Parts: sequence; structure tokens; C-alpha cells
Amino acid sequence: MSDSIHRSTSGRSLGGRMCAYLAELRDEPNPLWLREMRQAARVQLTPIALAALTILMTLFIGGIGGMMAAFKLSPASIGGVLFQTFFTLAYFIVAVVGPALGANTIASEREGRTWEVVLLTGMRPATIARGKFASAYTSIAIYIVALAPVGALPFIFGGVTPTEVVVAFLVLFVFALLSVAFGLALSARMQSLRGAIVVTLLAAFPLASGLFAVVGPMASTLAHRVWPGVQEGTPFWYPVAWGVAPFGREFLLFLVAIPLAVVGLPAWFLFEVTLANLSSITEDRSFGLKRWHLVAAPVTLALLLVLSGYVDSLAPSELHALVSFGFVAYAVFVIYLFATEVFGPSRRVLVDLAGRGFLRQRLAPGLAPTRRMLRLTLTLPLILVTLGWMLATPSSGLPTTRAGAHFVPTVELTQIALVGVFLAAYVEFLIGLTTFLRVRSAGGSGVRPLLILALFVTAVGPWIVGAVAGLLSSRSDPGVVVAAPSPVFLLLVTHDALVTGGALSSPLVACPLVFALLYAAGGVWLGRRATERCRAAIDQHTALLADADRRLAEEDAALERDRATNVAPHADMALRAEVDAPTEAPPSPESVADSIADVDVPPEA
Amino acid sequence: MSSRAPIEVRRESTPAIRVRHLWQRYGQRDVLRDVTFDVYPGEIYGFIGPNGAGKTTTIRVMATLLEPMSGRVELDGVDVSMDPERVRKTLGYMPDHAGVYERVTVREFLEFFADAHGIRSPGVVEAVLELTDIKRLSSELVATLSKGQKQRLQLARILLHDPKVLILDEPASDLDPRARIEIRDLLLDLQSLGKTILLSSHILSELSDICTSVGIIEQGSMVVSGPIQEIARRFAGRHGGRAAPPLGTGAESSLDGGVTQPAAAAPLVPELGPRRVVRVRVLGDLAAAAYALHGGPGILDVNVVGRSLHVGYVGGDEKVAELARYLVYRGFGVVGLEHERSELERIFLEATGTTGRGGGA
Repeated sequence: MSDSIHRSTSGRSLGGRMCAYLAELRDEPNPLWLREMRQAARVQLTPIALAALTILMTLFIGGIGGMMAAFKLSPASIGGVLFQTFFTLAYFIVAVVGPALGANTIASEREGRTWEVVLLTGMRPATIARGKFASAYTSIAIYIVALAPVGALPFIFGGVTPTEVVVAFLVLFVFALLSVAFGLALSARMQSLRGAIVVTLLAAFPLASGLFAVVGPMASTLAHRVWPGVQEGTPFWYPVAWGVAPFGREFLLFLVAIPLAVVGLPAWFLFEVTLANLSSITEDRSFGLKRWHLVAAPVTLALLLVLSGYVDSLAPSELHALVSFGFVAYAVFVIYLFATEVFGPSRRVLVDLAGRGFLRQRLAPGLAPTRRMLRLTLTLPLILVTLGWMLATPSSGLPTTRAGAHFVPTVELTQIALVGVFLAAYVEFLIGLTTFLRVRSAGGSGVRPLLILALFVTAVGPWIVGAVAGLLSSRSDPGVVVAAPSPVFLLLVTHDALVTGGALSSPLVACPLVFALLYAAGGVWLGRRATERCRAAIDQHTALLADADRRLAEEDAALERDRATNVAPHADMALRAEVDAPTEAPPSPESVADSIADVDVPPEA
Repeated sequence: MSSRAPIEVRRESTPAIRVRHLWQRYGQRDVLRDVTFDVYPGEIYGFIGPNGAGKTTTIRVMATLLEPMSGRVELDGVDVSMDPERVRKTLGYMPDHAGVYERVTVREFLEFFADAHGIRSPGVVEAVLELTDIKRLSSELVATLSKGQKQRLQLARILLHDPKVLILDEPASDLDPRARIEIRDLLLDLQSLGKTILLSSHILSELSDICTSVGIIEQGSMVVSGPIQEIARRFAGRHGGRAAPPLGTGAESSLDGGVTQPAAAAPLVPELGPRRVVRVRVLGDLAAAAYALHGGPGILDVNVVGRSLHVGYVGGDEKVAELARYLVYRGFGVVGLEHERSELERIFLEATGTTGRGGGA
């Protein structure tokens, strides 16, 4: 049983825990997985669907091969094209079927009214998530295995190495892992099966298409620079790179470390989101996500820094801006993620936290600790990166501008400082604003839309105002004043000044600095106001709970006295007349309810 | 089925279920308002109320599926909000219209839940199959079971981890009469095994035969709670002064065929309680039997309805026995005596304030 394993492995090393989990998989497989496999085995349609899929794919790939042969292409070329075609199709099959299978898991339990009885067995959310994931992943894995013979067809023509085919199938399996986890994370929030599948597919298909059409070709461009044997602009380039890349630092970095991070972080994130969505309202639903963020933030920053090291045609300020904006994008996502954090830990979580370690206590649920964590992990790194970048910027040997002149080091440094300070202040503002909105919102439901609105108003709004007023075309100083609140516009204007070989004028420096100051001050003020208000609400809630405890203790004492004097113990015998005229009002239910509603509202991951 | 031993309800001990000042709100509507009641070990507690009264919400709080906004609920001395995992080990919960996994066999279904509970003993599934009398179905697919069999399967499921407390939300809804009787017998068996059972229903006849205590909830408020006999006595005491009007004060009884009999004087004895009605089936001349009963001590009115007499009276069961004896003494063959309403129905109507004046007790 997973929970017993979990208990027995707590405190062990990572290796020990992994061994224990493997032993668990062998000796005591997850009951949910076993049951779902038994159910799936009784669906008579499954083998028919698998056979139909395999036949259709074979016919399609065979047809493509036949058409290519008609053009008298070399067998090696035909093999390459078939390889790309097959794995592109397989990718989209996994992109559609995987999320749908994942979405089917928990939502079907809810719709079938079996979810509550599963919860009441005492299985932990992690065990449930693992069991559900395992069952959906087994199903998609069967689909991939069924396609394997078709995937081997390009061998007949040549032009494809066995390594490439094996790696391509591994990529499919890994992508299936992400796609199932995506469906599972959404399924954990949905009540109806149909809704879960529709929402998951609506979200998964554009995401998968974007990855295929945009991220894949972009990554292949970078890979082409490192290994010219990789064709530029090919979405499915990764298996080919394994065939052409010599083993070395780049191989380990681009084909092992970065893919592991790029797959591992989203997979972990989706797992934590699933757990948060499966946990009860009074449990600590944000710790897992905070733990993930503590790892994801430095890894994201490191990834951006490493990738920037492989771009040699941009000036230091441009690279700094790219890295900073990349990290701000991550920061916005994380602020959005924690936008509905609870006011403070529930009593149950407080009891649980009592004996926990330093990190666990620092990452306790609550608006104040969350704000502190976000400032430390989002604002501070931006400042540190800016300082480091300024120190590392060379005073000579800079690349030439578009106008033919060399970038000027002083202008570069000003630009780096300007962008760094502005973005750090902007992130601080977003953190403060989100905390403030959360405190003002009873259930937290309106915080995320308001955050998106604030992002739109600050990032895009100034552009619109400037365009309407006709101030942007001339790059005039009033135009800069109007545009300065927008970080995107700031980057473009200052960048424009740089690449045209010009210097940063006074308004270009002063306006962003003024707005940076306003953002920072606003963020700090809003954040402080919010945390003060939050603390007051928690104090009030604690007092109400203490009052309720006192009244219950008094009742207990009275009951004991009644028992001692042999009065019938049915103190609960309350006739209507007695209910209508209570001697003492219950402990302010409305205020208790309101304050609890705030304190115990979970983050909607 | 095991034979049932008399159950001793230990009311002096700590309650198995303790609900105190429970409040719950959805939006602006209070669905529970200061709900307080206790269920003692070994009791079968009927949780009664009309649809929408707050039964299921209360039960969901007890079952750790819903956080109370205010108040405290303890199961076997453990606060459901503070330690739900421990509560779940002592609780067997059968939700209203609980779902099942259709494409597994009965045995696989129970084995899954046994594994999920972390039960290692292989004999447990066998034992609950036997206890709930579904062993012969163990190889059948769940999809092929009838509703009654599925309810038995659900009961088997909640017994796997040997919980002290069973909470059943509308366990007999949608069942045919035979299945209802089987479930009722099974619950009595479980009570004899020492389980504390809380079952909710809005069908009083489901509960009247098996419950030792009841709680009536209406519009989110607990109207009354406690042992049935004790509640009945309290109501009797409360309504002692407002029994039906005595005969001979202008009220008349109509006999079958529209023949009106003169109402005999019948002294009201306030301490005996409210007016009750017993249906008496007698052989022979109904009108003569009615006439014979008129004017008897404690008899308020006599009506001939169909093939039986409806006798209004004040007093307890002794009065009914006395009435039967008297009819037999007068030569009428008494073939049936039945209260017009069960004790529980009377309590419910009294407690919810919907007693019709002419509707009996």
C-alpha cells in the first residue's frame, strides 16, 4: 500500500525512497491502477480501436511512401520523410489521446459518484494521483506500442538510424507522460467528465500545436547553430540531433540536461497541481507548488543564462533584456499561480506544522509568507542578475550596431540598469497588487481576472493611449512619458535608441526611472496594507475560534456536572420552543463563517 | 444471517457521534443552523427531515467531506476537522445514490476497496461477502446486480475496515419492498455486532421499525433529537392540555352509512396525553361494535371507515389493550389492531408542527 510505503520511507535518502517505491510497484501495485486495468481489459472495443489505428497509420505511411517513390526520390530521402511524417502524426495522436485519457480519470470518478468513497478509504492524494496517472499512462503507452511496427517502416527505405527511431519513440513516451499529466491536472478540478475532456482538449491542442509549430523550429534553429547536421526549422529535430551530435559538453547540455529540465519541471508542476486540486480545503495545498517554484525559479534563470551564452550577435544589454524578460514572464506565471493563496494556515495545518522543519515552516500557507517568498525568489534575482550583468559587461570589444558604430559601454550599462530596475520594480508592484487584491476578495475568485487586467493596462495600455494620441510615431519626449509605464514599450524604445547608434536621452532615462520608483513604492505599499489587513483577519478569526472553544468547553463541563448528578444525558434534546429562544447566541456564526471563508480558501492551482 | 442479541445502548458513555452547534452556509443561505445532537454507541439513529432540510450536508460534514463553517463534529471522540484521516478509519459512509464500478466483479470491487484501506488480511473480503449475504454473487459483474444487491455491496464495502460508526444516507431509496426489508434486517444485524448506525431518510416507515433514536431536522435547524420513547413522553407532556375536544361537547362522530350517534361524554384526562387513533378490525356488526365502544373511559370518538373502526382515544398502549379486551368481552371478534400513525410519524408531525386536527395523534 502506497501510504504505508510513504510513511516507512519518510526520512530516508532519495535513493532509498526510490528503491522503496520500486519495491512497492513490484509487490503492492497501486489499487487504483489495478482496478482500472481490470476494467479496461473488459472493454471489448479497445483491441478493435488499436487494430484500426495501426492499420490506418500503416496505410497512410504506405501511401506517403508510394507518392514519394512516384517522384523518384532516393530511398534515403523517402525514409527521412516517412520518419518525420510518422512521428508528427504520432505526436498529434499522443497530444489528443493523452490529455483525454488523463481527463477521463478523476472526472469519471466524480461523475460516477465513486470519488467520495475512494477519498474516504484514506488513500492520500499522491497515491490517488499516481494510480490515476499510471492507468492513463498505461493506456497511452499501449497505443504507442501498437504504432511501433509502423514506426519501423522508414527502415525499409533507409536514411534513418536505429538510434533516431529509438530516441523518437522515447520522445513520444516522454511527451505522453506530459500530456497525461496535463489531462490529470485539469481533471482533478472538473466535476463532469464531458467538461473535463472538452476543456482539456481545447487547451491541449493549441498548446501541442504551438510546441510543434513554434518552439520546435526555434529550438532546431539553435541546435543547427551548435550542430549544423541538424536541419534548421524542423519541429521533430531532437532524435536527429542524437544521431549527429558528438558526445561532449553541448551534447550533455542540449540533449540531456535541458530536455530533462524542460520535461521534468512541467511534469512536477502538473503533479503538484493535481495534488493541490485533490487536497481538502483545510490542508496545505500550496506547499508542493512553493517547493516546485523554489527549484523552478533558479533552473529557469539558469536556463535563460545558459541559452544567452550561445547567442553571440547581440549586445550585452539586449541579452540582459531577453534574459530579464524571460524571467519576468516566469514571474508573472508564478504570481498568477499563487494569486488565490489562503490568508493563513487552518488550525489543522498549524497543528501539522508544529513539528516540521525550517523550510516547511517558512513555506506555510498564508499571504504574508507567500509574498515574502515571491519577493525573495522573483524580485531579488532580477536585481542580482542586473548587477552581475553590469559587472560582466566589457568596456570594449562590443559588437557593432545596425548603424555600423560600436555599442557604447556607458549606454549599455545605463540600458542594463534601466531595464533591470524597471522590471524588478514592476514585479514588486505585481506581487503587492496581487496580495492586495486577494485580501480585498472574499473568495479569491476575482483576483486572477483583475491581475490579467492590470497586466494588460500596464503593459499594453500606454501603447494604446500613445497611439490614439499620435505620440508614438515621432518618438517624442511626451510619447516616452506616455509609454514609460509599459515594460515592453520601455524595452523597445531604449533598444531602438541603442541599435541606431544613439544615446539614451534624459527623458528616456528619467521617465522609466520615475515609473520604476512609482511601481516599487506602490507594490510595497499595497503589499504592506494587504498583509496588515490579513493579519487582522487572522487575529479576529483566531479569537472567534477561541471563543467557540471556550463555549464548547463550558458545555462539556455542564454535561459532566449533569452526569454526576444523574440527569439524563440527552442534553441535545432540543424542542422547537427551546430552539426558537436560545439562552445564549451561538458563537457569531456569520462572522465565523466569513472569516473562515477567507482563511481557508485554497489556492486555485 | 446471525441471530440478533438485544442491544444495549450505552448512553452514559461518550457519544459515538457528537455534533455541536454546526453551522453551514451556501452563498447567503444558512443550510445548517446550530445543529446539535449526539448518537450513542450501539444506537441506530434515524436522521429525519424533508428534502432540502440539511440532512445530507450534516452527513457530509460528519463524513469529513465538507468543512463546517462553525461548530464541531466528533466521531468516536475525534474532531472531523482536525484529524479527518483518523476519523475515516472509524467511519463507514454510504452516500446517497453511491456509484459503483460496473466492469469489475463483486469480489474485485471489494478487493479494490480492501487494498485502498490497506487491509492485508485476505479473509476480510470473504467475511463481508458472507455477512452481507452476497457471496453467491462474488463472481458476477457489478453491472449485472439489481439495485438491492448493489446496496448490499455498498454495505459490504463500508464494513471492510470494520468501522465503529456507519453513516448511511438514504440507504433504502429506490429499493423495492423486498430489498428494503433485507437492508433493514442487515442493519439490525450490524447493530447487534456493536456498530453505531446513523441513517437518514425522509421516509418514516423506513426508520420506524429499527431506530432506537431519532433526530428531526427542518430548514437547517434541529427540531428534536433523542430516544423515540423519551421524545414521545416529552411531547405527551407538552401537549397534555390540548387534546382533541371531548365528546359530549358538541363534537359528533359519524358512523358508516351516515348514521349519527349521540356523542357520549368522555372525560378528558390531560396527563394521559394527546388524542390518538387506533384502527380496529372486527368480525361482525361494525355499527354495533362502534356503539359498544362509545362512551368508554378515554374513548373520544368512534368512526366506521370501510371494514374497520377508527377509535380516537387518549392514553397509552394499555388503553388499546383494554379496548380489545372489552370488544372480545362483548362478543366481537377482534382480528386486527393498528395505530393510525406510528410513534415516529406522530413525533415527526408534532415536532414539525404539521399535525392536522382531525388527523389523529
